Amino acid sequence: MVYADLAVKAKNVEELELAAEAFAKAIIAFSGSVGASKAFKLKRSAKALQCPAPGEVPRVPLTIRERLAEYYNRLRGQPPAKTADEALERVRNTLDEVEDLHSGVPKRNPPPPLGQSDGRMHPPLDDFVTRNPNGSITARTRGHHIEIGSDGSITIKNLKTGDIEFQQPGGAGK
Amino acid sequence: MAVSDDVAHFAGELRAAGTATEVTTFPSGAVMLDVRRGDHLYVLAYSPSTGFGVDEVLDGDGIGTSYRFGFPDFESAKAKVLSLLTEADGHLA
Repeated sequence: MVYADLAVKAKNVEELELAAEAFAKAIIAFSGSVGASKAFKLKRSAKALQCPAPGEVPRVPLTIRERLAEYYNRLRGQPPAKTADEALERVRNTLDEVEDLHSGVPKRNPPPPLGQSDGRMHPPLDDFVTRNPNGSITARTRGHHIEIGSDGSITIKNLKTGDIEFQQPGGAGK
Repeated sequence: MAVSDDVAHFAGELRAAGTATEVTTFPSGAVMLDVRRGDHLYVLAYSPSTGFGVDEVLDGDGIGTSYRFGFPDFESAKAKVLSLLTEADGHLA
């Protein structure tokens, strides 16, 4: 069985989680046949893939960098959004999904006050969102600028480095 | 004076001293000030609902809405930005 195929063919988050769970179990089974150090690393990877039960935090949280990569992978794996609102909702919900699974920190709503950090990534707050007359939306977080086109396109720029970390064309009109 | 005016005035002072700044205002009344000094990027954020936040943006930062330093008033937030800049100058010197 090719688990990557299962993940790519997943039609929704639940199917993707099932694929990750199956892959995690396969890794754990395989780790029994390698040395202790390698087995530990494999099990750590497997645990990171496994989905916690509702209300449970993952036992082995991923690093911010790993979670950010997972976030962009999940965004990339979805068909382009067709409207700006759909894209903004996706930007927010996908980040929450990744953080629910991999941050080890339960979501707080509202998020912590400006002067507190809980170690979890939080999507842009409504206060820092601008809806432009042309239908596009811009949003700002501490270190990222998020540009959402009226056609559903998404661009996420790292303001420290100037790098475009994620870009996806919009799906409107296609 | 509105917070956005305070922030714009502060940004002007920093620019006059040779520091690059950018002010972004939002329909909610929120304001974001980006301050660049050398390789450092500092942000001062104001939201009517949560107050002021100040932090340095680091290379590996994720997407976030929290700040290491929170303040109820502009003057305290401004003082923190200035102290971070002074600290950076010490490292750059």
